[in-house]
Amino acid sequence: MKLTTSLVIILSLSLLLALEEAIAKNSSPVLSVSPKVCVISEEKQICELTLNFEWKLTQEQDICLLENDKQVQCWQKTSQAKLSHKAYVQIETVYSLVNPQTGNKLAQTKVEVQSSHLKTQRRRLRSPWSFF
Amino acid sequence: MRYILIILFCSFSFAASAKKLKMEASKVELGQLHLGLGVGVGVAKNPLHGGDDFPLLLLPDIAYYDEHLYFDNGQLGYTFFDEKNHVVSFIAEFNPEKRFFVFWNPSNVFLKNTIAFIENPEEVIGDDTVKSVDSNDVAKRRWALDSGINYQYFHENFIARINVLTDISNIHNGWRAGVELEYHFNIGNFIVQPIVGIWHKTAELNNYYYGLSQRDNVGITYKLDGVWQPYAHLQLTYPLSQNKAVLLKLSYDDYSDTSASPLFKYDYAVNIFMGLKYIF
Repeated sequence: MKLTTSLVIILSLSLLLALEEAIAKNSSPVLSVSPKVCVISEEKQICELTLNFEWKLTQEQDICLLENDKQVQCWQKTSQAKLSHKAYVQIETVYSLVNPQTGNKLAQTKVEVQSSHLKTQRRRLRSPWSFF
Repeated sequence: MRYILIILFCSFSFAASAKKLKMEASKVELGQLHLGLGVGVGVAKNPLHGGDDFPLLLLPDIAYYDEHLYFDNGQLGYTFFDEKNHVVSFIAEFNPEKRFFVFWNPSNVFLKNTIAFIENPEEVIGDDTVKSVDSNDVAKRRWALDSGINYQYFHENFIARINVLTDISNIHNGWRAGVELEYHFNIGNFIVQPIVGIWHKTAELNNYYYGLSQRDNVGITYKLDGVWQPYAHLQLTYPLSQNKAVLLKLSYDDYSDTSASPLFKYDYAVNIFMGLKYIF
């Protein structure tokens, strides 16, 4: 394996990643939420907040917004919408856009919960099952 | 080499049809032991003459993270910088080259000639005139403890890692540096995780494990230079429940730069495992 061959592989990979990302940006459904992070204190262990959702699909269809698999609201034949939602979150909560007919998950986002007094989780730094 | 391209091709074919979701780095609870066990069938192929293939029937996944200190699948680390996209840690781990010199199977001693006879000669590198040396016949290669720096960049679509490690156990006295990219996407219910990367390993490291000198007492000497070693791994997971999933794991490590050593039978090392994984 020559160095030039290795460099060609790395460069090709980077190019593919960039290309795929660029294509995805233009064609993928988008779901955004604000705020994305809620900080809980030692005294109050739950976040009570108004979440502002905005989503956009590539084509009109029936769609539901789910909060950890629990339905928040559904729309019929819609390609974009905005929604304000009063939420009570205690742990990291995932919001997803799902087509109720096909069950396909089209986009997702999450609201992170951070503790002001203690860090309870961290990112894993190695790929799981990496012994071999 | 061709296998790296195949894994890359498969991964990016999958990626083209994948639903675009932001990549979530997997998280672990602080102060809790994370234990997973894969049960299935697989093999870790040994590229050396006389080396034992290692049957993969059980695949462990062991991790323990504290706020700074961690142990993850054989790597001990201390994270001293952890911000939104960047993490930097001191790390230590045993040099994995030694695994090819561990003789797992006692029957190897008795079946060695039979195995050599039935192996497919087309897949053996080099030609018949080059003398090959059995890895059982050379001086003992020892486990080396390598230590260094690990940097990780968490992008929303991928993770990039850079490792620089040097021998701190005075075994091979060399060093290695590598860069890798991990990607993560979903196809239906499948979670697809391809990893590609490349190591540079110095002549000292290569000569300790794969060179031949007077200490080996095999009648020939062989010296290697620094080498480049690309690799590609692919992991497919099909979740069955919160803590159970079907797991397929493929890995290909290219040893083309090293395989001119008489110890090598193949110029690559392949691992494959398929089974059920259970997270405790």
